[in-house]
Amino acid sequence: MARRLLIVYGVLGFAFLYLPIAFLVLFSFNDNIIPSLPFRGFTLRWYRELGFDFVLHDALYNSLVIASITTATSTVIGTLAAFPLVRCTFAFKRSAQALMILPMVIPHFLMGVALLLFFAFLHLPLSRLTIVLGHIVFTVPFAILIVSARLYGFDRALERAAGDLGATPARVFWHVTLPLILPGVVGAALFVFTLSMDEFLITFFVSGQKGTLTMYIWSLLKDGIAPRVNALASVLLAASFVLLLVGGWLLDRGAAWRSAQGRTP
Amino acid sequence: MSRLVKPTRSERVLLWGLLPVAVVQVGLFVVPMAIMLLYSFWSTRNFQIVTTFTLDNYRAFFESWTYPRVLLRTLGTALVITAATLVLAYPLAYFIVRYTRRWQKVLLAAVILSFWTSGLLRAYAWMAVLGHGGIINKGLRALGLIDAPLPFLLYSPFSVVLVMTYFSLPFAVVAIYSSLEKMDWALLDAAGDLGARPLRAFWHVTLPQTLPGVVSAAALTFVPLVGMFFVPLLVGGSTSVMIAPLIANQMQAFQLGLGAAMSFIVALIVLAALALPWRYLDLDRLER
Repeated sequence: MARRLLIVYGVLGFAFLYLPIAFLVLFSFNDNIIPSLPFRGFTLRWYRELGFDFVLHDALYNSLVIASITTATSTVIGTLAAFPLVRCTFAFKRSAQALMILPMVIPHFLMGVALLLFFAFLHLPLSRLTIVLGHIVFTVPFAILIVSARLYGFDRALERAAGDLGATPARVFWHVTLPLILPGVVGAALFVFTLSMDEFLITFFVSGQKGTLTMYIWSLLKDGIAPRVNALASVLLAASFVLLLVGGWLLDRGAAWRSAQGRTP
Repeated sequence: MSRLVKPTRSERVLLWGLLPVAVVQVGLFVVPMAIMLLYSFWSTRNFQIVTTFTLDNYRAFFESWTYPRVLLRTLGTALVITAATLVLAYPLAYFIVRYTRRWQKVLLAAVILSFWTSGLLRAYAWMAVLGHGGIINKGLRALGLIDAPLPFLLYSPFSVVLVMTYFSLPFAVVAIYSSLEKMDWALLDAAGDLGARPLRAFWHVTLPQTLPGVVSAAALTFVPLVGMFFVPLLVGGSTSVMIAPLIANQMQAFQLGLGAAMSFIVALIVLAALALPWRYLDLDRLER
């Protein structure tokens, strides 16, 4: 009885999570200027319109540049930090971890306000650089956590074996450590990339005149619903689903490798 | 075990890896927050910052009729949404842990996927569903159940609570899931064998064991809600003004000191809410 109720509830729960997105995609193909019922027929018109939207292309280009720089920087910084956090003990470790995690959990608008005032204080004009700095600070914690998860299941015996066989620390890192953590690092990079592409609130405060993809979407949403927006949203959601699924698959392979070693954390 | 021994030389080399992250987090988080605090004690005159210490901004906040009210409304709404989220999330997490077997990983991935995708786009999806021409109103009309669009569906406190609950649900499900997954189910069977009814067994066995998960889920849900921004602007009505959009307005109107003071008050509330589950949070394993 309780079991059956819970199963019904579970199905409803997932419907709640995914039906709005399903409708969004469905009505992006509707040949009707209102993305809603009735369904008048299938069209790709709204997708084609995106191809002529030069403001969109500009915004997309900006966002891709920002997300690429953010991803490269945050992933490297996060990976470097994950090693001491997993393998070393040091004074104030818990406080250091707390400080590192905080930018991930506090509301983005607080970071936006603080960064805006900080840049104003430094007389640094708002530009692509200020957006990148804002994105790095909130994505680094994610990179640290994802790479750390990979390092916890790491079999240190492999490194020691390489060392015993005469490899220098640099060679050990390059030939043993890096290949083993690479799926975690690439997974982290993919997750950070989608975070940066989708970030809204910090960007809102520190972007100035620089239009990013989310700023462009924001300007569209204020005008209400339109099938063009459905089409754009469907494309972007599909892109992040693919990136996240590949990232998740990479991280999961790491987990599978860990259990194969019989040292599930 | 390796944690108890003294770090070897190669491990001390690793500590240098903390340097870049320290530079980033201090330079782009701690210092900006300090600058924000500094600005909250400065005033603005004729679009110029006057750098003499004053408490005027805090006075302006607390003596205003609207600002504290907006803050209280934000906190109240956030509490309602947190409660709704926890109540909805717990059975969903329970369902995933207990009744899905082979599908467990897929379903958990589906939950996680939904919160990693753009919030702005998911808010838009709800605008389209709830709107006057949206599928709910059109559908109910087609079925002949209503004559006019339901007024409370969009641009109301209801829609803010609904959409924000939708946003928060995945966080809470994942947090509760990880504590349910660690649970010792034999204890539940034992309670049943000793004659406890399912609800009683849940109340005395399952819930206490998963309480850390529930508390951290509550904090992780509540904290972002205090900063809710585009959802109240997009789906809320005129009575749904929240604190973050209000502060954004202050910043755009160049009321930097007042905006900073209000932000600092919110930051204190956020830190207090995070301190609550602090001892439950396993920082080494905070995988969201």
